[in-house]
Amino acid sequence: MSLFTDSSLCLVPSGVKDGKLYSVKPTDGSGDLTFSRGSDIEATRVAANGYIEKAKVNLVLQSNQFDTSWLSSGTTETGGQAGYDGTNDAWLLQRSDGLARFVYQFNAHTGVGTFSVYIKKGNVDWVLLSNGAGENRYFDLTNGVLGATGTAIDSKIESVGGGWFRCSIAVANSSEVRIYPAVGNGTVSGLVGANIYIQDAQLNYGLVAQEYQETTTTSVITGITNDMPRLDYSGGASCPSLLLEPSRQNLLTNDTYYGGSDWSKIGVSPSANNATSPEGVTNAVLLSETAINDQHSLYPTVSVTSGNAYTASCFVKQGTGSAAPQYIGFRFRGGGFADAGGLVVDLVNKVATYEAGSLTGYKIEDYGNGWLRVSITQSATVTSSSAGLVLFFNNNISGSYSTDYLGNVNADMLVYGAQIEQASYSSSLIPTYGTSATRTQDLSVTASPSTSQFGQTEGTIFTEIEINAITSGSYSRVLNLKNSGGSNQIYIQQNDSKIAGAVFNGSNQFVASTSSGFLSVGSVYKIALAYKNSDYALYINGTQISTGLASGLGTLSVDRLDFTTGAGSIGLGNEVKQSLVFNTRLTNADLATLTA
Amino acid sequence: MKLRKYAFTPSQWATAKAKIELTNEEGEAYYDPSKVVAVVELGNLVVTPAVYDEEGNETTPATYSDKYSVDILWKDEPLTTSFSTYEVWCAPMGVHAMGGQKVREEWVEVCKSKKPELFPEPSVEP
Repeated sequence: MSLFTDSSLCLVPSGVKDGKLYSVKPTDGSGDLTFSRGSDIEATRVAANGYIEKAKVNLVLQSNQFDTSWLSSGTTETGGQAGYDGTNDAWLLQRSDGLARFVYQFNAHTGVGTFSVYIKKGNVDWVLLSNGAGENRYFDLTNGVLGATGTAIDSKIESVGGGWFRCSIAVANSSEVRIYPAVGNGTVSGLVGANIYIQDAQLNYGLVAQEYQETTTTSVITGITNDMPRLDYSGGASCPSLLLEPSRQNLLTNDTYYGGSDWSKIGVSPSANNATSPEGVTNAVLLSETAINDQHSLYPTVSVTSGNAYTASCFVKQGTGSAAPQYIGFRFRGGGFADAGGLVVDLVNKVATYEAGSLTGYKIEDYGNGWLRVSITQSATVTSSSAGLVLFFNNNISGSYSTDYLGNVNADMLVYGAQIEQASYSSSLIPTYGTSATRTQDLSVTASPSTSQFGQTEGTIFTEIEINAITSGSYSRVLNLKNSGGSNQIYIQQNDSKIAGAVFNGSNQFVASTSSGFLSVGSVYKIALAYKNSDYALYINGTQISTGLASGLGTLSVDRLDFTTGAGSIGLGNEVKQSLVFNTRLTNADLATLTA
Repeated sequence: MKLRKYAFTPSQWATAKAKIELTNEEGEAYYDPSKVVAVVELGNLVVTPAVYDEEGNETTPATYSDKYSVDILWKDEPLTTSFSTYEVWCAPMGVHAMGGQKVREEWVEVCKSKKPELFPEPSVEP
């Protein structure tokens, strides 16, 4: 027999759009789930190419209409010019006199961002891009090379053909962007009527220019939009899982920019945009020792509350310098943690070689290309404003966290995506660009509730999930059939390292669970719960866990399926690989086959 | 969705919190999803950071606000009773943000209208 054929509802994470998770069966839309999260730039996933994916944004308004939302400081903008892309959508930017003149725009975002414009020389060979506050760069539009710079974090110039270049600057303060025609390297003013050609401006979050997106009167965001289900390919998976996570806050104000005052640097120097990160773009930070006799560490500062568990995580990779250490230290900072714990991590063999302090857990995940995501968990013992995580160089497996020694500028490591969460395990990366940020929880529920979709006197629910976390006290309904008020529920739940199944019609008709310690993080479980008056069963991975004989089920009124708790919040993250619903109580032999 | 930021005394927050909470069948309180998408209790924010000596020892402890800061991502329009009196506005987003790009933009626009002095126009003279 084909169990798929017999199912009334089949969900395999594959077909999604903003706000919708399509069911494979039925195909008329009645089995589709609505999806909401309320986060876009705060959310990430591992895409099919194995790289971390972030939302793509253009914050500039009228990105290729330089005479509207743009302001002019003594320039004229003339459209209809031949562009880099074969259109006539480029603009001639010309100043009216010989002074420093520019077009500009203010932005609501004041944190880390990258401003980019396609530019071609006019009657002058240079352009200056600036944030109006000292972060700027000159670009040579004849030879395609960088010129003089202010305090910009990074700059790039890339030829796109036909004399056009895409010029970009990464800045710490994105509140304003400016484009100046310039007469030379380091010189803006001079020639009356100096002009250049410009097209397609963009300001996006982060330190590298994203693919250009046109805007009109509002900003544009694509990719992981607010209500887009996240199909996740973590761990090199060939088939995706539906990533469902609880609400989480990254307490750090910049996850990958370490040049600001929010990250303290002792005997180290960060170099932004140095290597390919787990995101697949060149925005990893090279952290190098400086040649002073001191400890060599990088750390942020956050506030913690006594009694709460915190998890710090960061992506790290062995550096490229001739003295790049095989071992690095990763620990909590003392403030807030009486016995601050940490690890010495072997970046080559991808294991922790030393554990110290009062860690309650740690994890090392391989993200490929030499990248590891290291996470450590500990409970704060003191309420403090001076807690944090510390990354430090340690060439010796001693566990000593504050050794002073003369630094070697060829000793380096690559760093990306730091995060501290008030939680007992790490969740997916929450990017931050100048302020801490919360990714709100993923919610998914049947779009059009109907009792006709589900078995009211008998049935079977099945799900295959990967467990992302186990923690005491929190629970997660990994699959839940219910009515609107929750007085009827058929659910599978994970909590306290066990799986439970229950049928509730106002009172419990069947409750079964594995023993504690059954679950392990990263493992996949196939779970089936069958229900019929006086005939219940729970199967996991081909094994019968429990059966029940209670009478009194009556006729239920379940009309919707979701992946949340009865309270509407997810306590623990899970990855759903597939879910099936049957309107019949499958035989025990079928349950064993289905879950094997 | 709309993001609003608040600063309460403990009793004010208890009163406000009761207006957005429900209780599940296990007797546990949770935020009413028909009203709020997320509530982030930022707590008593640092007013003056601690000072440390060269060895990293704290020489002057941090000082904290006596108000309890809470960010709420409302599903639709924010509740006013028990909340609007305690709204706070800061440029550009304060210490915390959520809700995605459009929510952030809406917050900044409202903040600009209520507190234009927080958004001075930069000088654009050459």
